[in-house]
Amino acid sequence: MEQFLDGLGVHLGEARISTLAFFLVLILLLLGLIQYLITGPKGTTILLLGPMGAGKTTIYLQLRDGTKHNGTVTSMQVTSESCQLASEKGGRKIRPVTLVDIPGHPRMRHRFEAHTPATRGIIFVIDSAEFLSQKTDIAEQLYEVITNLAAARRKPPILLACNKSDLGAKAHTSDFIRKRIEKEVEQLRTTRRSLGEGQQGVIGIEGEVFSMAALEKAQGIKVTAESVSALDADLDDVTGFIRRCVPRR
Amino acid sequence: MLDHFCVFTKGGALLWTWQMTALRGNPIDALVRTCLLEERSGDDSFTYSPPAGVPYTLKWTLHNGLGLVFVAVYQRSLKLLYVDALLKRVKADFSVQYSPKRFDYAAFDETFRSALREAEAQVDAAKRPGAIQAGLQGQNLRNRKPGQSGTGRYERIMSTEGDDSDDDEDSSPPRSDAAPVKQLNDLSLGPKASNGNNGSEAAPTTDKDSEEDGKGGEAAFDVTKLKGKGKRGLGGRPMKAPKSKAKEKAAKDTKKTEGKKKAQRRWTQSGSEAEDKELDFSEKPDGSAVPSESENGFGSAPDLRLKSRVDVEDDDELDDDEAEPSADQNGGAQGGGGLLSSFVGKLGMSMGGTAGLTRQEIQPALVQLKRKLMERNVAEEIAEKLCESVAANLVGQKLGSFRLISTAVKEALEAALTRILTPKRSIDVLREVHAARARGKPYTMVFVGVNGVGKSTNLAKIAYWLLQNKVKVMIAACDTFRAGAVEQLKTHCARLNVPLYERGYEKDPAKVAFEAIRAAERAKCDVLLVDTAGRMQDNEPLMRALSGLISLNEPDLVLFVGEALVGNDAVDQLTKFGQRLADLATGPNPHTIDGILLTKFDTIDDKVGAALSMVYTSGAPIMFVGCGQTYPDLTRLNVKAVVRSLLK
Repeated sequence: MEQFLDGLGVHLGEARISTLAFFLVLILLLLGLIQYLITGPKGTTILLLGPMGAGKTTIYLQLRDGTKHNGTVTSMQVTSESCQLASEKGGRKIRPVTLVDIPGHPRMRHRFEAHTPATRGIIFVIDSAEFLSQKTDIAEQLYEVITNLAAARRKPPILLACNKSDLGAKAHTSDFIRKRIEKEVEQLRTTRRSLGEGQQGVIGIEGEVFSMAALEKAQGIKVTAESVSALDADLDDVTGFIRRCVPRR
Repeated sequence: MLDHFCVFTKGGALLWTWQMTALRGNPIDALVRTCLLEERSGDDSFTYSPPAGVPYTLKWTLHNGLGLVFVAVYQRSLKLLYVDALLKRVKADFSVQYSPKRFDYAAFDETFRSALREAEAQVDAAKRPGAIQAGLQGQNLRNRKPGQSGTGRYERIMSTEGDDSDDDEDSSPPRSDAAPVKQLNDLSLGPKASNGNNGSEAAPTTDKDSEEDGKGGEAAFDVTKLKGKGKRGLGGRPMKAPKSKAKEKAAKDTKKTEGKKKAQRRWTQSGSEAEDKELDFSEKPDGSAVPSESENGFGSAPDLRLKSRVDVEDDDELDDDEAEPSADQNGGAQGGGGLLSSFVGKLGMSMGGTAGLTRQEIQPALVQLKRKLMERNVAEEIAEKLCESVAANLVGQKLGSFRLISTAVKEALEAALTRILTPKRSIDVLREVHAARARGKPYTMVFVGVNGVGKSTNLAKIAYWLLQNKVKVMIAACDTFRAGAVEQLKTHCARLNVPLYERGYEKDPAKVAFEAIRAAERAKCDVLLVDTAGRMQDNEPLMRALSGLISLNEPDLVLFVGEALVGNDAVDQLTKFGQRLADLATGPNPHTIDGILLTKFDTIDDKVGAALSMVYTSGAPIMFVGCGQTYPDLTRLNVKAVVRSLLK
């Protein structure tokens, strides 16, 4: 026994450097594991997408601070912050949410792709008053988001947040908007599959008219539509959606 | 009178506004959408025409370190001279108060009001003819007070220029008076100079200046001396670079002073790469040995990659007497054995310092990237503007520790390129065709462009693609000018089995197109492709005819066909086409170029710059790319691939 221990000691002495290296690697691995445990395997990102002027930044400020402050202008860069939702401030042990506000400018939209791996849910903000004039643009953007998600491994749900419901009769209902979008996306399905874009898979069920239900069945992407108002801070549906995506724990 | 002033974050949250009168329309959003997000931040001002009333001029300045934007709005008819100075002042004052979590800056109102009063008073004083001298003197004093670093430097440059003009003319007012006069002139004539771009102006001058020196007789002696000095005066006083301009002005002085000044200039700038390259020029008898040595000696990533290409190295040798950038890659090896900070400085690495990037620091990387863009066939004007805009967005930004400045600049440029090339309007032609079909009207596409770029060939390719997508196509031969044009289309139509509308030669193409639309409607075709004669952008009668064709027939899509081989001329072609179409149109809303068809894309390898030049100039997206001679050789632009080959 003693002999064995001696031998071990000698071996350790000889192999001190390799032992050190071994521990170093172990520590690094541990650090990685801790990081993984802290940030979680799934991420806590909620994306705010949609065309310009729909109210993404206002919703972002409302969710984060509970007020819209001095108003907003067109965003120039992606804003993201891991924060407690304003409506849940003061609560203990609530999991923070990473809100990411992607500018709606056509040249900035594709920036969301960098965030998709950590995304748990997408809030697609729509201006319900200006919907009809923007519907093709909205459908196109949504189509791109969906095709991007369909290729991804995880399929976060999408909330169509029909903003500006405070405008009363001018604002279209969320049901109407959802139906029109389904129609527009159906058109896009036929036109988009040409000139090098045909490699993308079909969204919805092949051979059937596109609908959100079919999308959920075939690709597992759940799309719901709700009327909200960022100005009046009527965002219960949004916070509810966020908490379904990123549980309070 | 200033109408509106506001401060907002790049993320889009308004922080503070001051307004004199309510704004008509939405100029701020328009500024962000059509100027700042379109890589035109380097521009001087932006004009916004509201739906009703007189147009506004907007001026802005960015604080990149804090991510803030400062915008001033006033009516265009008023030439407000103080706006630049005011923006600068407010930027300095506001950034002191700013904190990311704070949204209430009511206390800033007072600060702003006093700044505005002061700025207005300055201009008023300058305007009064009798009181010029006194007013200027006052302004001079006041200018020195706020922002010593900025204004002070600027003044120094101007004062020497003032001196210069004094020598030329016969007037002899004291120096302090001459300086502000010049400065004022400059503010009104070229406000850009006061836009905080001092560095940009000065840096190239330094290079040129020193190049000349290098060629001088006593160069070798100077160089060794300077090198020694350079090592001692590491990293010190980098802000002094603009002074070199003044030095240049005074270069006619005595020999002795000149030598001294030169030494001083180099000494101050020794930290930057731009400096050492001159040494290179003078010392290098044969341009070949030195660069290769420097590559091996310095493992900075972008340099290595650049040099690995044989052709790039060739270029370095070929144009080393005129190209500054090649020299600044070589520069590193020369001053090599310096202290750590010089080493880091030469690597272009940020040491996790607290100060943001300065113009001087990013200049070498920018010059290098600009050259690379131009090698890729980007028009020079565009490359320049783009780098200007990237610089405007980078200056003041803080880098993480040990990040290469060149990498940061490259990333910023890459983002900018992607943003430009990403289409801002839908390029889904098929979908628009479907919509037109629902309306019961043929979708009309007009192909325009200069001679021999491939209009007819690519028209046939598009016809082929539309046929594949089960769309009924008709072609109209409105090239009634070139011999054989109609026959060429006849052949295509016969092969594709598509109806052709033609009226032979010597007819007015506008009328032919008009009749063709009617014919397409009768034949229940979904799409009408109109081929036009190629024309040079300067040919007035032909451009007039084209404009007539477009305003008479109101096509759904005007497609500019341009070849990818084109270099600097791309800008000229597109601007002139767009402008002529706008000028010569009769209606109130002229129809200009909607999209671009880029042809001969298969012939250019990695010189894809024309794509960028065209999109940047016209703002229109590239809708199709022709990449071969046969019918199926039509694709969409792969933005990522183009950006990659631009920066490769």
